Amino acid sequence: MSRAKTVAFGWIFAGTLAGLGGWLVVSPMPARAQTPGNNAVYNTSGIVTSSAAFIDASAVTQGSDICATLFSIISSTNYPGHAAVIDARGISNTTGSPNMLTCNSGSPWTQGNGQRTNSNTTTNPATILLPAGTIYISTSWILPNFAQVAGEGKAATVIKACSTGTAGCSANFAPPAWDNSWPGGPANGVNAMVELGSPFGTTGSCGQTCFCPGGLGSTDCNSVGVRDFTLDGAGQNINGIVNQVSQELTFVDDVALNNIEGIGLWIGNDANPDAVTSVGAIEAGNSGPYSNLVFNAGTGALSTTECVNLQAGTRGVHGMSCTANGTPAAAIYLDGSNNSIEDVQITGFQDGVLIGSQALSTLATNFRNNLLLNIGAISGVTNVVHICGPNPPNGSAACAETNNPAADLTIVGASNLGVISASITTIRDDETETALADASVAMYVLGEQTPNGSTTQYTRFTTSPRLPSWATGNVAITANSACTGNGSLYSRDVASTGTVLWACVNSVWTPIR
Amino acid sequence: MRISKIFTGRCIFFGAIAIIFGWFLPSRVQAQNAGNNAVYSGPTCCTPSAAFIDASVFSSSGDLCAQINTALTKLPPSGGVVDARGISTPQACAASPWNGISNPPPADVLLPAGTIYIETTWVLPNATRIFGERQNTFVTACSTSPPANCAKDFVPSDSNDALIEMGSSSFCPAGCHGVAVQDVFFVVPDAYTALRLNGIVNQYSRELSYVDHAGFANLNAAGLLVGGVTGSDGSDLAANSGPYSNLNYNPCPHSGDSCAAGTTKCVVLNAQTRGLHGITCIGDATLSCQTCAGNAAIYVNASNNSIEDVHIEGYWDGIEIGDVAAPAVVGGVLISNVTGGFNGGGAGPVTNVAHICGPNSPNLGFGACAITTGTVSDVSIFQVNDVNNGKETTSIQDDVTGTSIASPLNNDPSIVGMYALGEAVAGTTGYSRFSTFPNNAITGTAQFDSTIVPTWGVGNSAPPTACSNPGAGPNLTGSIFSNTTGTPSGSKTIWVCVAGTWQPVI
Repeated sequence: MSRAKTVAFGWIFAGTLAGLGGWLVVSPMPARAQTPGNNAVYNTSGIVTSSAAFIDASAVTQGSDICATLFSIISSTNYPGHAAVIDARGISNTTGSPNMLTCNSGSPWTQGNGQRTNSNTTTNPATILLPAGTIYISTSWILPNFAQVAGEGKAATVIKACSTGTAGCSANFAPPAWDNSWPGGPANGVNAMVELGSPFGTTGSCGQTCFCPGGLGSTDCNSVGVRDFTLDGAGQNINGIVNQVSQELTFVDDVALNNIEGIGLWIGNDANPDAVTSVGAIEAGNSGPYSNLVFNAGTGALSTTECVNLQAGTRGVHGMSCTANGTPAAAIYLDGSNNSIEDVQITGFQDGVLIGSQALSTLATNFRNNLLLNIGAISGVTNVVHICGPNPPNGSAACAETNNPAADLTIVGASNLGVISASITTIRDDETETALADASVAMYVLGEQTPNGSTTQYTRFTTSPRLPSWATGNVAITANSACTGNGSLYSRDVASTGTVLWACVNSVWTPIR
Repeated sequence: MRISKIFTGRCIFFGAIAIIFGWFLPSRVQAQNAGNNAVYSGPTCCTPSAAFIDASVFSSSGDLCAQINTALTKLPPSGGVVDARGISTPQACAASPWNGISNPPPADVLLPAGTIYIETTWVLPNATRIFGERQNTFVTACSTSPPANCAKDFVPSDSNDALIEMGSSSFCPAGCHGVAVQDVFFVVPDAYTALRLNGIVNQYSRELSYVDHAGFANLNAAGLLVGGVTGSDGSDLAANSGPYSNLNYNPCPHSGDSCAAGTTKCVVLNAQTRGLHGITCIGDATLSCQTCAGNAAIYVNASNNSIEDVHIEGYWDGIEIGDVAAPAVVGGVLISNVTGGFNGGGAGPVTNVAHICGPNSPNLGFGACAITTGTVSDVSIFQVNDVNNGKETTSIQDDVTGTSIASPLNNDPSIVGMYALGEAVAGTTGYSRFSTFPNNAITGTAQFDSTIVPTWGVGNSAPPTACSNPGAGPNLTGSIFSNTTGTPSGSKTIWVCVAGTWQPVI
């Protein structure tokens, strides 16, 4: 009897375990094959199951560094062809400071950086969420068509250029050797920490590894974007973000550009194919907006350091501050047509916005039609807006290039909070020989040359009383009252008799009618 | 001994059961909402988190939209996030995700990358936002010719013929708020030639309703249509919506549209909004939009709108302001940084980059708006660039004052820095107005069909004798010139252009 009980109990025990085991075998959670990195969610049976909503990069087999890990995901044969969200926010340094990561292997889309060739490339699109902390990069991150990179905010996620001696960095930052520059490109080479598409490929002539569809110089990228992080150039003469080929719906938003002694943001336009570099007609036209940006060159700014170099027609630069040590020649180089630049504050550049200064024959005929709105200088700026041309005022030196026809330029709201003098202006217009030393100017519209006129005769309207303007009032002007803007008009708007229109002639208000 | 063995065996048995069930209890027995995220609450996994509802777990509900629909029903009344990014694509949707939900909770819906084919309109309820993965997420109208995972062709839910509607009379008869579409591309297949489909129609959503980073491909009606329904308070139910930003529109390449049809539009604003900021509208040489006078890419048919950072190719008119019938009034419109024509592409010219509608079309071949009886005033235009490579076109055509600012015939662009149309001046037939356009191409070549636009010239010397164009174009009659070095006894300070000659005033 007792043996029978024991046997029966044993069968019950074994059967129960078998049942549980079987249940576990058919249960989705333990037995179902999931893609590593998938999220875990509860299904309708209350069982934890996988979701492909995103790929958590911290849960896959880790590569030699975060870039190798990301590359292994994006280039995997299991990667969805129509892109995915890759959440890398959970990746941390397990051997050192948890918030310090390095990318010696290359970028999330290119590997093989040991030879500076980045010969292993994928162009699969992805949306990458970067972790908080500092990521030291040894070479450029070139984003392919439709790709995006987002951090956790300017204060949290920092992408920093490697410097020799920095823990974890094997060498100074260096761009891929095949990512060439061209005439009209940045003087220090492409040299970009982040590049939005590229006309080049790993073979130089693009070949089968083009970052943009269609290949070299023939087709642009679209919808490439970066946001919510800081780029730190570590005081090197390199560039922050370069866009030479990405157009529609391409953007940069909420990005800080710190300690970059090259160009913070470079947006290119090269309309002429170049036989030397085999670059076809490339441009970043209709890209943007480039919004909510901060550039701080740090203490090592060079005379060639630039906040923005804008050569293409874009959807604008909207919201930016540019800070340097007073050495750089200009903050924003504007040498393209069809741009709006709004809400900009500048400190420590000789010129704030410098228009038409670059000797680029391919740009000259296109250099018109720009709108500047709310441009201010805090301190250390000689000219908040400087329009290059052949007629510099007050004997001052002309721009290096004076033949670009600046015209059809509207400035609404320009101010200089620094010390104003004859040589420190809010608007300096070398087309019309004008130096406007007002602390602020509501409107300055430079039109075009008047027919048959001299090179300094332009249609123009400004609200500055130091230049020909139009004033109105409800009282008559006292005889021989002084005025400052020769050629200005004054309309008396409440009058039944007497003079209603005066002109400023030889610094005296003179009645007309 | 035997008792001891039996006792020991029972202990092992119940212990094993307890351990096994205990191990699973937190994750399997605890009441969860399906779709909840699984997170750690302690050393063991897992406990549910209602941070979002993952719609991919509702695969038994049906297609992608049915799964989202089920997830929406799991949200609390206060709303939440539905993450549908884990649902594989391509998929077809037989119904809208909000179909059959009478009182939808506020929701942010995350759509997956890939193509979502829809068989009917998605009507977004109050406080609902949908987010895609930018140009990797396509919402495409279903077509069975050729078949594309669809059981039937797309059938719009109402006469708006839209892929997406932001609010509706059933969801929010007095107006929705906080309805948004972001990072999604909308596509109509080539097979659609008979049915004209709009992309996004917003007639019922007001404050904090917006569209950002959206694309419209192959549509044969409007990409974006805003406004047109008046609420009980007399205001448009889409008023104060926007901004509508970072958009891209490419119509279908169908040919043979009649001018009368004229329905291929990029954007139509029938309500006051927070603006249209950043858009490219590409037409096609074979479409009526380019070849029929009065057809425009962007219609601004309501007051208080700003249109900024625009690029247009291949339309007769780029931006039409005030294509409305009397007694409608359109004013307070700001246009800035607009490029029309071949710049950046090859879809064809734009006859008038900015066209202010009115009764005084100069009949110079630049055409008139379809409707010319409305009242248009107070329009500020900054930076309009007409790049048309040899086709005589205008950067600004103002049919209120009968003004054409035309391109020259030497392929130079016609650019206007500033053109501000004010209002009719009492006692005159004129309007308050200011322009910097000098009627003089930058190379000195005449704009033959440009009309006179009095302007103000400034220089530090007296003007030349002639104030006429060096070519055969019209002069600057009515313009004034300020010589900043003028004196009472020397060269005069103020000059006026009279019949082609600068005449001293004082």
